[in-house]
Amino acid sequence: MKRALPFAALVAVVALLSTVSIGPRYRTQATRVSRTDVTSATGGDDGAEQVSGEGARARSDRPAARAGLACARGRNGGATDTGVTGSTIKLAATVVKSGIGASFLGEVPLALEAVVNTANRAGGICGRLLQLEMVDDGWRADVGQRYIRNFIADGAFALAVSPSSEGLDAAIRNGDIARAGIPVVGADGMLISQYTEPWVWPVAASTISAMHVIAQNAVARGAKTFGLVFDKSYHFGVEGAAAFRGALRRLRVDLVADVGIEAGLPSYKTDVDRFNRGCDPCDFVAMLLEPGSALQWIRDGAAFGQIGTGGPQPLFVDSFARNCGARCNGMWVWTGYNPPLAPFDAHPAVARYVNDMRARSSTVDVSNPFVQGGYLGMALLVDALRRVGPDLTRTRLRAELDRLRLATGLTEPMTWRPGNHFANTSLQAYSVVVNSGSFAGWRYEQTGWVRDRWVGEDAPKR
Amino acid sequence: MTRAVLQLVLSLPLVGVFAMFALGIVTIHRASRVLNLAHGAMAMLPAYVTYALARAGAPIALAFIGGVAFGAALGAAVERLVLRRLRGASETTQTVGTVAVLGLLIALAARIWGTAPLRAPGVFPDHTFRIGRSVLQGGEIGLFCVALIVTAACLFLFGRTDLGLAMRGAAENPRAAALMGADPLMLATVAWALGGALAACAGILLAATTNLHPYTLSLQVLPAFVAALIGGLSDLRGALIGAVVVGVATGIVPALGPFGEQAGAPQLVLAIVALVVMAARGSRLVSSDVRAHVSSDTSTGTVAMPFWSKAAGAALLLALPWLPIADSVRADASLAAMYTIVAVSLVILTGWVGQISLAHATFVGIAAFAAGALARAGVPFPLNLPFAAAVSGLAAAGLGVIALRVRGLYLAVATLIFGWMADAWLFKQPWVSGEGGSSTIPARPLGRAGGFPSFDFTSPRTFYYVALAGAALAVFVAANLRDSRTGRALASVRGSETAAASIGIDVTRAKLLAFAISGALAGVAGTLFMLDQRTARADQFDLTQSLFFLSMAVVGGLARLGGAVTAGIIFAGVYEVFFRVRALDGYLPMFSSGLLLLMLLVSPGGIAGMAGRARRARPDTPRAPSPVQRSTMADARAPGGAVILGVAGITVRFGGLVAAEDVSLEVRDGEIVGLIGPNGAGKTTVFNSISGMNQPAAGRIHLFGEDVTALPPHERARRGLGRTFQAIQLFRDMTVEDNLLAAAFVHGRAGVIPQLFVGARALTDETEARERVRAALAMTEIDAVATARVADLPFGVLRRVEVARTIVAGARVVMLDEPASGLDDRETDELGDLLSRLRAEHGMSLLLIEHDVRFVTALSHRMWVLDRGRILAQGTPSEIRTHPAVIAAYLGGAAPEPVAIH
Repeated sequence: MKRALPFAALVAVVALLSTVSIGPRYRTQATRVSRTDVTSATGGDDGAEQVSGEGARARSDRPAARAGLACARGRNGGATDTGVTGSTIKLAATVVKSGIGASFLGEVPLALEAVVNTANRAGGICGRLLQLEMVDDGWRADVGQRYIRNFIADGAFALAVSPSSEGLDAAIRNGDIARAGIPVVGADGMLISQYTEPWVWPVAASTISAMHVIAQNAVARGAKTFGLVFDKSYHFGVEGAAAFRGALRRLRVDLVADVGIEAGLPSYKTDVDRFNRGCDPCDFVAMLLEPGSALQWIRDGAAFGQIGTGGPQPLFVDSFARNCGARCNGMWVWTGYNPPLAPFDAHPAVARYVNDMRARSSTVDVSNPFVQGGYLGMALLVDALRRVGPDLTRTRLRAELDRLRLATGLTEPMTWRPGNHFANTSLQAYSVVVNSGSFAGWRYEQTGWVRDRWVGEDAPKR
Repeated sequence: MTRAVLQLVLSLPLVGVFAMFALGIVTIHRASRVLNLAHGAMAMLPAYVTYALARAGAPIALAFIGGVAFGAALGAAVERLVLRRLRGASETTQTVGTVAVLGLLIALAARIWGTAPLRAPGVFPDHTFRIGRSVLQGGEIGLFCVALIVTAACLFLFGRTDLGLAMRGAAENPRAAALMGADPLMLATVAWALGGALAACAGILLAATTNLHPYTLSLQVLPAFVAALIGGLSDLRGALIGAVVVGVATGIVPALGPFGEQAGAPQLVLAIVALVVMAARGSRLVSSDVRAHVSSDTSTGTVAMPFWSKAAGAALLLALPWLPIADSVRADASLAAMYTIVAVSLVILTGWVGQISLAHATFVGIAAFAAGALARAGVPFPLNLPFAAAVSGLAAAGLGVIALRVRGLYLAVATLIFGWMADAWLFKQPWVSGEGGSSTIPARPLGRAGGFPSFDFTSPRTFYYVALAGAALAVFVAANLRDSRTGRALASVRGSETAAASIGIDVTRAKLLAFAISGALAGVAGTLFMLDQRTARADQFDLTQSLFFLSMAVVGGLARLGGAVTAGIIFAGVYEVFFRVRALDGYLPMFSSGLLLLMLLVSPGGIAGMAGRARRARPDTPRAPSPVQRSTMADARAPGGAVILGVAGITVRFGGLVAAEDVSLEVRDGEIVGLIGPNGAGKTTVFNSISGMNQPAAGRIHLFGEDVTALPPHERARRGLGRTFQAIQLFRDMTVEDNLLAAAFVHGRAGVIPQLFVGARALTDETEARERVRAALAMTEIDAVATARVADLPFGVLRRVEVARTIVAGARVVMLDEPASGLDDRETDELGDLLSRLRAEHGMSLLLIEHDVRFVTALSHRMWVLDRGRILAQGTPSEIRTHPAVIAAYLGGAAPEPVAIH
C-alpha cells in the first residue's frame, strides 16, 4: 500500500501534466529565435509566430511587407524564420560515416561541404553564411529519425540532402517532416517516399523510374523475355521490382523468372537454380540488388540476358565492377546523372563538380553517384535559397522549389511542381568494360537520356 | 541428376562452412562454458588479415596460414583479456562480454578496411564446375575438403589425445582437473585459440567464395548456432550432424515452392528444427539440480533512499519538460524511459528468474507491429496498449515453453534462434509488418483538440509523460512483483528449480509467468516505441537490437531495478552525446562496444552490482544461533498414528540400471523413520521418487491416503510433503528471511494481478507469510541471522534454514537427506534436538536418510535398511543395530534375503 499511493498520485499528476502540452509539436523552439533579430526583421510583432509547418505557411501568406530588404548583411531581414539570422542560415543533415552504408554514402558529406564552402566563400546567400550541421546516424532508421527530430527541435531551417536515407524515410513516413514543415532539399535516396512528400525535393532518379527506363530500353533493343532478381529485404528492391513488373505488363512482354533474394547470404545457389530454370534463356535480366548480393548472385552462376543484363544506380560503382570481373563484361548500369566519365567528363558542369570536390578532398571518389547526388542536391538548395532572396522563410523556399527549373548540366534539366516531385526522370546507361579479366572502366552506351514513360506509377501502397 | 540430389551437392560448401563454425563454437563452449557470440567476428577479422597479407605480396598459402595463426592469437587474446576477467560472472555477463567483442571487432574492421564489399584472395584454383543449371567454384569444393580434414582432426584431438581430454575435463570440473595436474586456465586459452583458428579457417575460405564484408561475414555464423545446438553445444559429432541439417536445409528450403520463396523460410524451418530438437533432448526437471550459474551480484534487494531524495527525484522528473533544456534532451528522456521498461523486463526474466533472453527486441517488435495494426484498425493508443502487450506476453510465454525443457546457455541459444527467425521471417510477413516490411500509424490526438482532457502524442512533452508513466508503471509492477510471494517464487526458481519444487512452487508456471510478464513489459515498450516513432521496420528489431537490450540491462545490473533505470538513462544519453559532439562522428559502434566491455570488466555485476558491493562492505554481522539446550535425542513416546506416507513396491530404473526395486516403507503420524544403507544403496533415489523428482517404473506412493504417484513435486509439497537435500539447496543469493518467505508461497491466496498492484488480499498474504516466517525462525533458533545472505552463513546454520523452510511451507511429513552430513558433534546434537522438538511440539513426521548411525538410531522410532536398491531389513533401531544382514551389508559379506523383524 505504501508503494501504491505515491504511484497513484504520480499517475494522476502525469495525466494532468500531459494534457497541458497541447498544441503543435516543436512549438517551444520558436522562442529560441532571437528577439532582437525578430524585432529588427518584422517590427517586433510576430516573433511568437516564428513557427514551422502550417503556422509558418499561414504567416507567409500575408503581405510580406518586406520592402527595402536586400541581399546584404544588415539589410536582409534578419531572423526571417526558424534557423535564419541576419548572418547565418542553419542547415542540417543526417549522414553516414559508420555502419553498413558508409561504403557508398560515407563521402557524401564532402560533397555537401564542397558546395557550402563555395557558397560561403562567395559571401553566403544574401549576407547569410550557410551553417551546415551533419551528424552520423550509422544508416539506422531509428537513430536517423531521432536525430532529424533533434535538428528540427534545435531550429534547423532546412535539411540538406539528408544522405542517410533510412532515417529520412522513417521521418517522412511518420509525418515528422510534414508536421514540422521543414524542407528537405536535394534528397538522393531514390525511395518512393521522398517523391510523394510535398516537403522533400529529390534530385536523384527514383528506383521506380530507373526500372521503368531499363524495361523500356530493353524492349526497344528487342528483348521479349525477361528475368528479374531483386532484393526482397529492402524497400528499394521491393519498389523497383513492382515498377519493373508494371512496365513489362504495359509493354506486353514476358517476365519468365522473378526471384527475390535476401541480402547478405553466403550462397544463392538454390535461388540461382530456380532463376536459371525460368530464364532458360532470357533476352534480358534486370538485377535489382546491392553490390554484395549481386556479386554473390553472379558468382553462384546466375544466368545473364542474351540481349543484355542491367541494373540501376547502386551497381554503378567501381568496386562492384572490379570484384565481378569478366562475368560482368558488357553489363549495363543506369544513372540519372552525367557522370565524370567520357564523354561527359569534359562537360563544364561535370568538370566544375570534379574541381569543387577535389578542392574539398583530393581522394574523394568523384564517380560515386551518391557523392554526385549529394553535390547536386546541395547545389539545388543553394540555388533555391538565392532565388528566395533576403526574405527567407520555409514557405517561400517551398514555393520557390515548387516552380524551380534546375539546369546544371549534371542531369537533364529538372523541374519540380506542387504534387509532382519526380524531377529527375531520365537515365542513361554505361556498361562495364573488362579486359583480360580485369575491370578496365565504364563505357557510355550512347543511349542518350531515356525518359520514364510512367512517372510515379507502380509505387507500392503503404 | 535429380533436382534433390543437385541441391544436396550444391549445399555441400554450406555444410562445410557451418561445420567449421559449429566445431569452433562447440570447442569454446565445452572448454569454457561460454556462448561465443563473437565467433563470426573472429572469422571475419582473420579473413581481412589474410586479404591484407595477400595484398602485401605474400603467397596465398602463407597469407592463409598467417590468417589462421592470427585467428588463433585473437581467440587466445579474447580469452585472456576478456573472458578470464569475467570468470565467476554469470553466463549472461560472459555472453554479453562476447557481444562487446563482436561489436569491437566489427567496428575495428570497418574502420580499417571500410564497409564496401571486397574480393578476398582465392585460396584454391579459381575453376568453375557447372552442375545442372548452377555452378560450384573451386574454392567451394576446396572449402568442403578442408572442412572434412578439420573435422577429422578435431574428432581425433578431442577423442584420442590427452590435450583434448584435458580440455574437456577442465571444463567439466576445473578443480578436479587442477588436482590431476592440468592448468584449467591454460587449457581454456588453448581452447579459445583452437576455436579462433577454426573460425579463421572458415572465415577465410568463406570470404574467398563470397565477399569480404565486416557485417555480413560476421553474421554468417548464425545458422551454425543451430547446428551447435542440435549437438547440444558440447557434442562435436552432434554439431556435425547439425551442420549437415542446417547446410542442406538452407540450400533446399528455397526450392520448396511458394513457401520456400518466402523471405526467411529457411530460418523458419531451422528454428522449428532446433526447437523440436531441444524439446526432445531437454528434460522437465532433473533430480540433480541444474543450477543457474548466476553471479554473486544477483541479490534483488532495494536501495534505501531517504524520502526527500525520492520526492526531489519525482519532482525533477515531472518538471523536466518545463525546464529550459533542448527538446532533444526531452526526447532522450522519453527514450530513457522506454529503455528502462525494456531493461526492467530483462531484470525480471534474466536477473530474477535466470532465463537468458536474446530475443527481447523481438518481443518489442511484436508489440510495435501489433499496436500499429490495431491503430490502423481504429484502436488507437492507449486502447491498443493492453492488447499489444498481451500479444507480446503471449509470444514470450510461447518461447517460455522451450525454457521448460532447457536451461542456461541452451535457452540463450533457443531465444537467439527465435529472434533470428522472427527477424528473417515473422517480421517480413505482410500480415505482420505490412508490405515492404514496415508499418506506419497515423498521428491522432486523443480527445478533442484544445479541449480537456486532450492528449497530442506528437508533442514531445505529452509523449515524455506517457513514457514516464510507462516506466513508472513498469518499475512499480516489478517492485511489487519482487516483494510478492510470486516474485520470491520466481527468484527461487533461479536459485534451484528442485528446491523450488520441493516447497510447492510450480516451476513450469513460474517460468511461463516470468516470460509472460517480461514479454508484456517489453510489449509496453514496443507500443510506446510505435506511438513515438509512428513507423516501425522489421530491421529495427533484429538480433543486434536484442543484444543491445541485453547489454544495456547487464551494464545496469541484472539484479536491481535501480540498475535498469540507470542503464536506460546512460544508453539514451549516449545518443545525445554523439549528436552534440560531432568529433565523435563515425565512432558510435566502437564507442558503445568499448563502453560495454569496460563496464563489464570494471563491474561484471553492472552498476547495481557496484552499489551492492558498496553496501555489503559494511554488512550486519550475522550472529551465531543461540546455544540450544542439550536434551535427550529421541522422544521415548512411541507414535501410534495412522500411516501418512506409504511407499508400496516402487521400482526405479535409469535405462538398464535398476536403482530401486520393490521398495516399500511407511511413515506414521508423528513418527521419525530412518532410512539407512551403504553408499549407492538407492536411498536418495527413493527420496526423489517420493518427492516426485523421478518417476518410479512400478509401485505406488500414498500421502495422507491419497495416491500421489503421478503428481509433480510441487503438488506433493502442497499436500504437506517437505524435504531437505544432501547438498544444501537454498537460494544462496537471498537472505534467510527471503528463503523462508519463498516457502510461504503455497499459503498465498492472492492472484498475480493483485500482487502486481498491491491488492488487499496480497497484503494479507504478505502479513501472514511474515508471521509464519517469524515463527519458523524462532522455532529453529535462527532469527538472529534472518537478514543475512545465505551465501555468507556457516554450514550448520544452513541445515537449520532448510528445516525452517519446510516448516514455513507447512510440511507435515519432512524428508531429510543426510541432515547431519558436514556437521560436527555439537551441531549434530543440536540438530537432533531440533528435530525431536519439531515432532513433539508440532506433530511433524520425519523420514531421514543418514549415515551417522548414532544420530539416526538415537532419533528414529523405526528404521528401514536399503542395500543395492532393495529393502534389506526393517525394525526398531535396536533391532537394526543387531541385525546380521545389516551388519553384513555395512561390514561386507553376502547379502541375505530381506527379513522382516517383528
